[in-house]
Amino acid sequence: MDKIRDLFRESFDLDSASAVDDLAYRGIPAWDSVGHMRLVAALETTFDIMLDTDDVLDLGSFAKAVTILRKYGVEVS
Amino acid sequence: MVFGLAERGTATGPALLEPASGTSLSHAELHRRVTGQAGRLRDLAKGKSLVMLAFASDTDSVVTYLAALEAGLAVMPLPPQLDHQRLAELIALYRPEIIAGFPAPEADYESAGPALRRRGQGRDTSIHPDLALLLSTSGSTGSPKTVRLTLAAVEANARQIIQALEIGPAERAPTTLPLSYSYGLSVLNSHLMAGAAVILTQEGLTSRQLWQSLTDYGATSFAGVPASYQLLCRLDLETLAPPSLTTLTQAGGALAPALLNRLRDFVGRRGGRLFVMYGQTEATARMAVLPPEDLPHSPGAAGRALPHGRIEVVDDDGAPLPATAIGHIRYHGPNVMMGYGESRADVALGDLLGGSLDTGDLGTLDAGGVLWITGRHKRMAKINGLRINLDEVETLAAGFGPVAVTAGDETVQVALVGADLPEPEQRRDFARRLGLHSSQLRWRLLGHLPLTDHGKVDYAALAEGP
Repeated sequence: MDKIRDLFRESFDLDSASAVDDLAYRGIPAWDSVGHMRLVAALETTFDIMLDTDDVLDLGSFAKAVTILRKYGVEVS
Repeated sequence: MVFGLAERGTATGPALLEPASGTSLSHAELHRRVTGQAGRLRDLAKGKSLVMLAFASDTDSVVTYLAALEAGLAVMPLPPQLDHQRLAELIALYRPEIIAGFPAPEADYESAGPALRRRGQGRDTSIHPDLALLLSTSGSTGSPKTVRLTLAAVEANARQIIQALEIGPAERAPTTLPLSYSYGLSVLNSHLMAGAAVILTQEGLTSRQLWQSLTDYGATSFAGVPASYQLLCRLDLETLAPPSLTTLTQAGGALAPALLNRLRDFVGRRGGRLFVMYGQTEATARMAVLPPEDLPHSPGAAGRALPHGRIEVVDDDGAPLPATAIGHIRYHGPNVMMGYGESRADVALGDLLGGSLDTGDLGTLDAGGVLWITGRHKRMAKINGLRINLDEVETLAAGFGPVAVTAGDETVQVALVGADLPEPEQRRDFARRLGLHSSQLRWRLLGHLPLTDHGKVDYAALAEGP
């Protein structure tokens, strides 16, 4: 879980201490479509997965990201 | 009326479609709303005034924009999400009489019907009668440097685009780019002028709602910068894009050949067209379009001059060069700006360019008259299709110490003289100020800045880098 949090922080240029569990698409200026694709790329590279289009579009919040990553067999503790 | 709205005063075809609210405005209704709002703005302005507008992709903002132009006022469109500090700086620099769509800044403005009006009776620096539009030179950050445009130039460019892209009244174009950005605004202007419709959406490209709206409202075209298309090609475009979507337009920098081919194949399969375009805010929006039939044998080219425009390549002294020679790209046409603006004093200025623009780009015209861009002469970086003025970045970064800023590949390179880089938090804040992600700013430390024989910073040496 902390790994995913870090990827969110890196993708959206957030401080290392900032809370990300409640983040959602367009909830902060940095999570626009470009930021979204940066996050998708970071998740895909880190967990060596390839998200399909539906999952890219559905990845609208931190909670949703966790659900989707689980679907791809990523171990989230 | 502006963009020929009056000529379609009885047309029942849609002009503005707003999926978020489900509202639809016909050309006749738009004409009526603009007339009403123009009257209110005229009453409010009492003479030629500058209107700062938060240009959201919604019906109200578009009506106010058109009404301000119709009332003969000068409009400065800005991104609605512009942060308060930048907005305050721009207000201090340009001292607009009217602000629409932004919250009231401090006590200098009072609510007055459809907008905010500056308090006090005294009139400011008078505005040139021909000034209609002040566009920021960099769309996302609200750069203080603006381009001064007349209504004649804006309408001329809309007509040129209609001709080059063959936009007919059946077209429905979604706002996939911000309306405060010259390219995004040109989509609105050209479609309204063609009697076509614009689908007003604020949704991003990765929003499912956007694609649902494009399907529900039968979008026929898509406008994007390289970053938009890089993103689209990561998605399953075939499934997402409704069958009605058959025209793609691309500007804001060169697209990689592999990506161009993919997009061409995609629209080709549905009998559509891909238009590559070249433009600058300094020429309202567009200067050249590469006709789809030229694309297969000229991938990577910038295009041919728009109707009523002319492109020439000149040497350092301004003398025209023959075909295939590389030189400075000059553009002549009715859509060229009057000149730049940097503060309120400049709104009084008239036309300084006479329809002739030094683009700051380097390139060549091939034997067939097609323009190719080979580089830049002016100090600019291009990131996500938006221009970043390197001298402005350098000024902003001067607080960190002696600094020189150059352009990298989709990055801005900051060379700082000193022992330590700024803290990560400072670097992130600085990137945010420029509208960038911190990974798009590359910092490095130098013992000293390389200088030319004239004692100026040697940017060429810096760009080559260690």
